[in-house]
Amino acid sequence: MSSISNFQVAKTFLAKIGSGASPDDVAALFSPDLDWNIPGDAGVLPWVGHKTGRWAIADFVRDSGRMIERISFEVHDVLVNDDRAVILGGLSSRIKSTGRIIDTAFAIVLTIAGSEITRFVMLEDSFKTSWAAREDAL
Amino acid sequence: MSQDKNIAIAQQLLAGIGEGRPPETLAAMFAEDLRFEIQGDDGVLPWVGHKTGRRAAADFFRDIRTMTEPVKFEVEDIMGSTSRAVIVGELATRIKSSGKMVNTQFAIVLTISGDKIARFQMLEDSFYLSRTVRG
Repeated sequence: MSSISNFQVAKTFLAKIGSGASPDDVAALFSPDLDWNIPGDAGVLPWVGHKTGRWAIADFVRDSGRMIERISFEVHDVLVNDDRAVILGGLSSRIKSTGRIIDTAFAIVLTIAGSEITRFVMLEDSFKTSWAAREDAL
Repeated sequence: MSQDKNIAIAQQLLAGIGEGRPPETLAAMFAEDLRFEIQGDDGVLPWVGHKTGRRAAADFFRDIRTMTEPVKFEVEDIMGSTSRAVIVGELATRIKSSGKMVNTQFAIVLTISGDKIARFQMLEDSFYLSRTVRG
């Protein structure tokens, strides 16, 4: 797949997330056997950890809409080549259950085959996320 | 193309690290007013946190050699844009003082101005790193 179409896949993904598209609509961009990973304190939020299957992105869209309040989501750059797109930015979110705010830089690495996203890796400040989401954190 | 130049700078940095070049030599690739950012549990290791100045890069390259033993450093991809290069991969490193191993995916984001690295960001599993070091 060319880097131009991978750029389009990343842009479409961001547009769907930004416009509040339905979980299934967002998930349609992903392969049925998606390799999903947000490394960190697995399970501290439902989407943190390593999962397999397109349902992981649908659940993420559904659960994040319910559990966090988006304060800001800024994209600073989208880098592409023939296999991947990397989205760089910064986000700020409030965890509704604790009221705490996650303020983090992020890199979303999308591996793309055909026009489907086959692997989703999101690197963020997982230490800060764990702290913000844990009820028992100091 | 500036994106090719930015990828070349990332490759040059990785080569310099791999060859064990002196910290000051590596730091010369960075701007004097470098923004050095490894977000996470600030201070859990000397290089974790936000710092300013080329010295942060020299200290980082010196301290990782003193305090950690590289077990694996796999670069999956290097990508470029007009102002950045990103190195994505996976690393494993042993903390010498405790013998504990950290295994994490990473993204190193280099923001490049002219031919110098003006901002160095490393994203990794900061939770796991903190837990392993403090554990």
